[in-house]
Amino acid sequence: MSRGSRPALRLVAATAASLLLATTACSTKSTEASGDASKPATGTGVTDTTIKLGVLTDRTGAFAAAGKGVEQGRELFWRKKNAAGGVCDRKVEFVVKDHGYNAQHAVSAYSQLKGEVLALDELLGSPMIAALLPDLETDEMLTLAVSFSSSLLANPYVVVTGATYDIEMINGLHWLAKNGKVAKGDKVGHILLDGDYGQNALAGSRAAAKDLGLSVVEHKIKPTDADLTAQVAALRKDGVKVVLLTTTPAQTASAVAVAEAGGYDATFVGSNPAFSPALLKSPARAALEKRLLIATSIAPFSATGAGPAEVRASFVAAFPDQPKTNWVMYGYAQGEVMAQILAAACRDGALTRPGLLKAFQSLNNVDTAGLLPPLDYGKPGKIPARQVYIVKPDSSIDGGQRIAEEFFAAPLAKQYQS
Amino acid sequence: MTHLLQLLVSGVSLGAVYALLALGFVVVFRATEVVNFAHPALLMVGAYFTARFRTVDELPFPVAVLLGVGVAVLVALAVQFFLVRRMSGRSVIAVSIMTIGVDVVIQTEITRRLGVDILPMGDPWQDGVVHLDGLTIPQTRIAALVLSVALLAAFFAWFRYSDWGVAMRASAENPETAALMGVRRARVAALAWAIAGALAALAGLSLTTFPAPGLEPATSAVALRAFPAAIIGGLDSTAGAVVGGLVVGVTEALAQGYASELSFLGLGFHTVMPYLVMVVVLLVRPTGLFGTRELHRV
Amino acid sequence: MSEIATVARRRARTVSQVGRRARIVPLVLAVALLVAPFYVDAFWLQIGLFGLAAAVAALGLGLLLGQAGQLSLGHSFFVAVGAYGYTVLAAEDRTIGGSHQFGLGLPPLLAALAAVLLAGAAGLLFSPIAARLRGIYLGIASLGLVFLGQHVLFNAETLTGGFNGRTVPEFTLFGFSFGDLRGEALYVLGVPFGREEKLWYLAVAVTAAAYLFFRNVAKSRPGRALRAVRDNEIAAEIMGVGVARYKAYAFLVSSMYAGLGGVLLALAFHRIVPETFGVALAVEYLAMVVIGGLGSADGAIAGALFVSALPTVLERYAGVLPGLAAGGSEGVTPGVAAKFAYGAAIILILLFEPGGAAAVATRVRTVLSPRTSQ
Repeated sequence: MSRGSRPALRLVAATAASLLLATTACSTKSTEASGDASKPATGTGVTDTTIKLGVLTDRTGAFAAAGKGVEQGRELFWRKKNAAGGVCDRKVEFVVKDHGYNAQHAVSAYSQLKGEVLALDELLGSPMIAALLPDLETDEMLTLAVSFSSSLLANPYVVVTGATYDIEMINGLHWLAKNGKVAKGDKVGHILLDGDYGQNALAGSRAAAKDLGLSVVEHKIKPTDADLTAQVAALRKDGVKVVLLTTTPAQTASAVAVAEAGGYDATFVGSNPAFSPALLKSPARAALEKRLLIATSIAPFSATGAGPAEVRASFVAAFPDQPKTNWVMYGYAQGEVMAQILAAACRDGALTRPGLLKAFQSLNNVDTAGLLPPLDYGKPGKIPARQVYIVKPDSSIDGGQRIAEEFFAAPLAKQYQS
Repeated sequence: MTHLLQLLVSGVSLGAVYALLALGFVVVFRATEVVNFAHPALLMVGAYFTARFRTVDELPFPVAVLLGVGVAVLVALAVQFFLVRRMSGRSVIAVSIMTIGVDVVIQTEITRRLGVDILPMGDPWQDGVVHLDGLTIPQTRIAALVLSVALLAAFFAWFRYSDWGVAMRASAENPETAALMGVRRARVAALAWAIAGALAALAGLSLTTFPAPGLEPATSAVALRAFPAAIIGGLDSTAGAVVGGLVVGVTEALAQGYASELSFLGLGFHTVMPYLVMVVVLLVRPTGLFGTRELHRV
Repeated sequence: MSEIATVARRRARTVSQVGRRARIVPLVLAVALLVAPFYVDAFWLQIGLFGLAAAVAALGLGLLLGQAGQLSLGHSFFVAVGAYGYTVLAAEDRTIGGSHQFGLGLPPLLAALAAVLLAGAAGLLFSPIAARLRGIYLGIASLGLVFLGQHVLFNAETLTGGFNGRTVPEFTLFGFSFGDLRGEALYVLGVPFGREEKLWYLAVAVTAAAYLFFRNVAKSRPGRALRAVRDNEIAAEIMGVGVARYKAYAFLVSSMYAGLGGVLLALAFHRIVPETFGVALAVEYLAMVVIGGLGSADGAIAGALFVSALPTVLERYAGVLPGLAAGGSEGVTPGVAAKFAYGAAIILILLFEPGGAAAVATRVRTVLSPRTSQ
């Protein structure tokens, strides 16, 4: 074609060749990888003065619920801990990423975090957790997942802080049996969201039903189902006296309020994420106070005990206008768990990812001063806590929850394996 | 039998709300051929401000509703005037995609303000119910049904007989001729958007009263139900939007109520049901039940 | 010396300069793409992988919508067929605990090709329904496919792993694995090559091939027929273009593109979950094609990179903006700011550039090149 093209092509080819040659000399990537491994005592995200932990959360998606309270709890704990010198003579800092409940954004954000942090202090959202499970293992990334599903325990790097959903349901049903609300031969209903949350709780309710001679009628719903009239009507037709709810707080309120309004005399027991104190400002308040119980291993905001009292005091001082939820307790307790893991790794002289895993698995009695039951991580793959509270909604109390039964574990809950 | 009746009643009252949603969607489409992806955002805006005026400013309920609707209408007009109108002459698909951006911005702000709150509407009916022959009907649903019927009737009358209504219909039928005859397209479009805003706000109100506890970020996801409802009825038929809404509401309620009987289709089938019905309708009538049929003979 | 000859000589030089410049841009781009893994870290490569997977799928939708004028909101369904198809075909059949996961254990290359064909078949099956419908009706009907698809993905646990999803088998080509090998490290010119680096080249090659094929179809007879169908179905039928046949062709090819994009997406994710393949993704593909500039291959790719990468990039750098609140508080956090920026970007680009990103590129090119006489 035109005469000008050949010299141009030669120029470009020469540039490309020199670029490629320059690669070996100039690429910073070739030096980065080995950088941290040369110091055996510290891993990614650790310097002489700081430890960086990652937070992969949801602030902008439609189903972000617990995130804020967990964040507040974390802030309260580490503000205090860092002021007292931190862990291993280092301050703990957080790199926070918002995935907006989108698995692709979560995977991208994780790619960035994995080069910067020692471990994940928070991973929120069941689909995100599911999508990242293999990578957590490949990257040896210890992760505090905001989920209580025992199916996650198969991954040794996932830390579940509390009793799992199946344990909650087992204990809940046993408590109902003990208090005469269900008897052998009865039918119990279970309205559940599809996913790890619902399926894990269902496994528990089925196991308890078998143990107690009951049968379970299931209704699977979607997160977009706001009106549970049809499900409640179907359960009523089936003669169900007790309904288990593994749903979002709004769905819980819908179900309980519909039952109450229709004169359906059922008792409802919810999994721990199924209730939020915000519900007590809605027209469903009276119905919830009358008919709902929650089985949870997280201490309510108003609980007695050293841990809860301390969290209450710091929360009210730091966030005077914010809603009081038990997620703050949970976030604080997670801080305590992470601090203990880091401290144990420090003692072993290995602030690295493998070191953290070893330290984590060496903790068989993590005490959170009453915020959570004692946690046993010494048996990888086994459920770390078996005790729950039974809690009742009460709008006259801070945090909206009153303890109806202190920490207990039913016999089946003690031996149950998921 | 009572069970079936209860489900039908529940379905019809839910369907009335879907009809409101679908109608708002269809009005904009008919007037401008734009698929308004920001409709859920308008719903959230209306519901949010109604709740705020009621609970924070403690205004009486009718005043709060009027103000909430007013804000939604203002937002809709702003979108039409500052954005949609600037894009006149462009392909309608481009405008439709632009409304996605609007939806993202508005919903992000509302979600940020809501946080973990569930805002009640403070309506006078609360959790009151009417007992009828063994059936339980929430008062809020009766109110929603009455509201929908009244609005739809008023809308049809206005659409058919008033000057503006005729102008809108003429504009949709033949834009060029209508313009030549003095119908100001921009004004007609603005009106359509304003109506959509009002309808979205009222639908939002109906969705967040009993049996729902209040407004939360997840409420916007329900707005998607408008799509199959609008299609089943026929996108250029406002009566169709009503029928479509009712069909979707009833099928959903039935599918949920008989979920155990339908469990062989996979659990959670009730979300797919409206779309299945829609596809069946479209196979028989490709432009919906009441949509204008295009004749093609080659 | 004749003045006319001077002008002619200068003009010849100008034309050849334009020719040279027009050729330099794609060459520089090619070089940049080839050396990227040596300089850029895994985060950016990961974004690039997602972007290229989206680009391939967007090319398909560009063909369907831009060339053939068929509005489809169901693209994420065909992408899911490709992604899950590859996973099921290439994975080993196993039973863990109580759950059985079905897999055929085919060689990955074969599984990928079969997945693409499967997606194409699905498109072909849908085309009779599509032939009966027009415009937005077709759009919403195809949206129904997405809901149906997700329903199946959540419920057919042996195939899809249900809500937990499935791990995607690593891609291998003649014994060379594109995944991370435990304990081994591949070094190329001193740079450690992990999963993202290796997959990068695969993605670039596939995207380039898809791009060239699109340009080929657009220029050829099928392309002209598709555009005839888009512009006026009745006239096309009269002219002898078998409308139903070409609609089927459009759906077949675009679904195959979607399937291919799905395979790349699955590899980029490493583990796929059903939530991904929903309405939001379908709307995203539509946005990519429209923002990029309907009908143009360059536009589809540009739009795909824009829509796919922008949210993540904004989120990464949003913390730099002054006046933002810390994460977890009431105010505007970086995540919120990033989302605002993303929505605003969509609005602005559509408001001010009628032709989409492709038109922006043309304008830039015109500005950069020396003026030839008018």
